[in-house]
Amino acid sequence: MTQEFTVVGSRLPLVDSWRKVTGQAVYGDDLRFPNTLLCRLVRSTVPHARIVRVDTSRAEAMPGVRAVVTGKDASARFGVLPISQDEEALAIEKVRYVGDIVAAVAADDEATAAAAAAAVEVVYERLPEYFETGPGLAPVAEPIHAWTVDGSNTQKRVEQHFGDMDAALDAAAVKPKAHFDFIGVGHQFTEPHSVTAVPEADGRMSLYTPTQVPHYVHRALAKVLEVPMHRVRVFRTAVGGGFGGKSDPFPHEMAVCLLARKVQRPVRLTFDREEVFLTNRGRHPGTYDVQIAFDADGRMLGLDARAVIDGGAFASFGVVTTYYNGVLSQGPYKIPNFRYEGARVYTNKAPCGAMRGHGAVNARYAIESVIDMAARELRRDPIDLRLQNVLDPYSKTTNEFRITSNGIRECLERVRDESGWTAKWGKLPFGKGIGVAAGFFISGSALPIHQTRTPQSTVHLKIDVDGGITAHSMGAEIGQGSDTVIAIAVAEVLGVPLDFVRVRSEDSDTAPLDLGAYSSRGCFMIGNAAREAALVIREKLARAAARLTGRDASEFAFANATLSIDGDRPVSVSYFEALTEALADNGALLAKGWYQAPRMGGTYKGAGAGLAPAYSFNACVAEVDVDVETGLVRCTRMTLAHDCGRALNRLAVEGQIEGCMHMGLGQALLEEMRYERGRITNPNLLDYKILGPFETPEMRVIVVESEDREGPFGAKEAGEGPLIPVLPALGNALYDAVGYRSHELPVRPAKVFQHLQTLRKGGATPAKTWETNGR
Amino acid sequence: MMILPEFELLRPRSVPEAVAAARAARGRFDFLGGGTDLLCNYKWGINVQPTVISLRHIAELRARTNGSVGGGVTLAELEGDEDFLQDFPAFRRTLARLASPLIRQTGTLAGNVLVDTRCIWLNQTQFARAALGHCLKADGPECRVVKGSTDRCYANYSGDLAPVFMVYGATVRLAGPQGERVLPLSAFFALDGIRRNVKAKDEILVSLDLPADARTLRASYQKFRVREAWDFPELAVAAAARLDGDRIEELHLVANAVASIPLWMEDLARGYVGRTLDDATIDAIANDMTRAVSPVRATLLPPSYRKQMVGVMTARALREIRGDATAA
Ligand SMILES: Cc1cc2nc3c(=O)[nH]c(=O)nc-3n(C[C@H](O)[C@H](O)[C@H](O)COP(=O)(O)OP(=O)(O)OC[C@H]3O[C@@H](n4cnc5c(N)ncnc54)[C@H](O)[C@@H]3O)c2cc1C
Ligand code: SF4
Repeated sequence: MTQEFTVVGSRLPLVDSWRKVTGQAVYGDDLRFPNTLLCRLVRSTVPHARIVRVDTSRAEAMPGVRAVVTGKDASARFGVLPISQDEEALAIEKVRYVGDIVAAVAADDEATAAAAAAAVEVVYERLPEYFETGPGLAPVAEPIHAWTVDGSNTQKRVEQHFGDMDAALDAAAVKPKAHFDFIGVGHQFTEPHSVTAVPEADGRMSLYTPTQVPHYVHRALAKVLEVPMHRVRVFRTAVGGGFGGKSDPFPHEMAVCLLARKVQRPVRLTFDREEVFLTNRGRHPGTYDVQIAFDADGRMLGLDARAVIDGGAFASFGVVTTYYNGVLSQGPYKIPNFRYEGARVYTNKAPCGAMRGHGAVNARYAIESVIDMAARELRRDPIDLRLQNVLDPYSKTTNEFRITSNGIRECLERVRDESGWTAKWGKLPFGKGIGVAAGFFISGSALPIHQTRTPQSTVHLKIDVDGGITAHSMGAEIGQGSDTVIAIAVAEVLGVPLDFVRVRSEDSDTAPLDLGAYSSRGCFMIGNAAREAALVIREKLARAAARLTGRDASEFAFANATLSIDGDRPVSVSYFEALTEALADNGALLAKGWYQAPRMGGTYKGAGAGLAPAYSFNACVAEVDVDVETGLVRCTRMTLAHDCGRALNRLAVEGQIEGCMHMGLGQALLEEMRYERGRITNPNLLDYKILGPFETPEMRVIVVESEDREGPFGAKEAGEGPLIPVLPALGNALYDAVGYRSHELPVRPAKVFQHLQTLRKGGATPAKTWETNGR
Repeated sequence: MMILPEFELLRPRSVPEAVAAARAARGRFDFLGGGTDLLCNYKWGINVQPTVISLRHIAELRARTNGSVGGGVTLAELEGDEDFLQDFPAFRRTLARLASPLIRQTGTLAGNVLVDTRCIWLNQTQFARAALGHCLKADGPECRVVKGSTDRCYANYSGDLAPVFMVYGATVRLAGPQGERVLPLSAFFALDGIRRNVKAKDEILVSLDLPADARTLRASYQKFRVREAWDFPELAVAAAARLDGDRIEELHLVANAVASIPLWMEDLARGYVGRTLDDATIDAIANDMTRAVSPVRATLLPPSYRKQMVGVMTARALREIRGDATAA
């Protein structure tokens, strides 16, 4: 199915990148409306308490203070998922974590707002505090929320069993198992949240916010303000990075709107970095127990897993995360028997949510580590062992996921060949190691969050006499390139240069619905919708060209802004000639395209979780250099192959993959949200350590194109999946280097050092053999 | 956003003018170099003073001659001074791996030497300190790291340059109301419980001066932390030696970032003068250094690990001095 493309597959700077590098992009804090007030929030300094009293009188009396709102000003609860609406704009009866918003102040300037916020007096009655998941599984004295499982702090339990796991374990020749601990990490995008609420003259409320999910913000805002949705407008400002950290409707977004409504003036709020940490929605900390059964020939017989994840104070995407920790273990291997138990427990800490690789990252670390253990027990090359077990293209998993295109085999083979694996595996000196891991991820969630029959993505196109094509979509461009996907799809179908297309994807008043930037859905769904819309325009232009030439509309090819027919009777009509004809007696060309995932999946409870119209696949080889005197671990080289179906924009795909390596290694080696009795102790980017330039390895990116039959031009996701194999590849390489299996992330140099000390006490220089490396 | 608190900013043009301004402010002021340390603390609301006296416009402090470096010289200027780096090569890597290029552009030598001690409990926003509970060093009654300490703060000294100047034998020139005085940098830092050096509040650090014979010392600074850029040292070791063949003629050692001041290990070092700098000696010195330090939990990494790493870094420094191929 090799097709010729003109735009698709090239290496293009993102269409919005010029605005960003010239400083013209308008981020949240760049907006300036006349008469804007500045907001500061009053946040809880205690982890769990009943609010006895909030006294705002001193604050309100301060010169320059225009309004203060508290929990009394809004009673409706909201949340990103309709099934777990547990958030409040401002805490109503109690606070649930250090950072929970209790009041919001609007004043003439920020210093006054800050002083007024400090002058708000809150009296708390302390409640029992819960920081660990363990105790929260059983009934507790004061559940953090009223609707937990049986008076515990458990928000959600998931159990799934396919086949017969016990029988698989009985039949197994090897069945390594292990326990893993993961600490929480955050997204650490560049731009802190920054929002402006503008009360419009007609009584509507506009919210300008750098969000990944304008539609869910729109819904939540209408609910909290208790107005119909058409009375609210959401404008997505340029998003300075999201990674899942801007994919919830947030209390602070509600709070500024409440203030703006109260004073009838625009209100702006820009977080400092600490508030980003407090708002969190980062990757869940948690524990993962996994056992994998193999027969003597290396065939995977089954996977048995148990995850307990720490949700923090609110639900966010947590129900989905609880499922994903299990169900996203169904690939990239054939797993005939499968058992998973998952639980998400509320704690009095900053709420966790969706983060790049949502729900699949920690589980994958555990699974790929245990596969590495199995390979050693079976004395198999870990790449061979994986290749033996991979899912086939256009097949089905045990839990009835519909697998379409699948380049996992090519991914594994190419990272093997292009990393020099065969020359290195088992042959490197002590201290140097190489490791592999594979992964897979959804390319868009097939089931929408709100189960309506409205398409998940719609794109409108408009062309008028200037010939430029305006594409409207609510698809949230967050730096991942969704605007560029639209532009590429339209330019490709209509055979015009990319600069003919301008994308408008900010304003809920003009853009048709799209669900937003999460679950790696953008490229697949918006891309398909844009392509469909462009095909409608193409048909109109072809018919116009047919009228001009007397030829059949279906014969025209579109390229170089020309509609042409080759062959023995060649004709050619310029794009503008065709357009002029199409506009005659008709006016601007309008078209709509939409995408709705087909029906799929099983009928058992929870069958919808993890369903996707396509899945991406990948494999990663990491090479590490352990400082054997100190235990410090450096990743020196990383080779990652990702099957994205087709690279619509090669540069963007490569950029995403490199970003994934960087972020994945950050979590593997350095990143952690540290807590002390519910207080984050490193809420800044000096103490919370993202990978620096010196820790960034040489990166080798391999783009695998399996050409998905349903993806736009064959494309699938590339923004999240590539992160997933990075962490276990690193962990496996570390094991290969010094025989230390890190059962926690980040890898602790002090523990590696301890391990090295123990080896040294053993006397001889440690050698690398199957035996010493065996378990 | 984080807001810088209000203060009065003075910009004297000479050292005497600055000293006079300091006296007029009666102790309720801070000197300002590049501000990369002080103003971070101010934004966090830590020990903010009503008056800030900027020293950036005093030409004398920016002088750089032949082993004498003015307190106002920026780290980037020093990093670009090829003559200085040729003469004192241990600074090359130290400077190149200090903070970040941006910070080195602004940060000054005096600010680096006088950089405030750091602690995971202290270097936090006001909100975080309120939530965590204030500590002795700012607004609270008691130390959080060493529970029960009500008179002494154990925060970590984290400047990278002072230890290197110390092992090279530098002196420090101070100017105050009583005029100028010069003392060895090794005698500058002192643990008296409250203050950590002998500088009077209203004294200005004018320069650090390296003696001529420092050029013939071989020195090394080994800094340990998890990231090569940005991160303050979790611990570090500075060493300098004069060797006659492989015999130690002179040895200076500093254990850095494991206490509230850089620890000048003169007695320990003297014990090895006359010994051969072989592997056994290196091991012995490394062990002694490890034993001599007792870091507390004021930084990211566990204290016991930091203690052990002091030995590893000592050995590395000595091996580098000996001329072994250095690990990058
Ligand atoms: C992210 C980050 C990372 C950092 N990493 C490192 C690191 O790795 N290593 C390191 O050593 N430092 C590091 N620093 C600390 C600091 O930036 C540097 O030490 C810098 O050199 C301080 O110089 P300054 O001129 O900016 O100091 P300032 O902030 O201006 O001053 C620091 C102190 O010195 C006093 N002072 C300044 N000049 C004089 C003078 N002439 N006389 C008397 N008192 C004076 C001030 O009153 C203040 O108390 C880091 C800082 C940041 C923000
Ligand atoms: S060492 Fe103790 S007193 Fe000093 S900053 Fe840390 S907690 Fe505060």
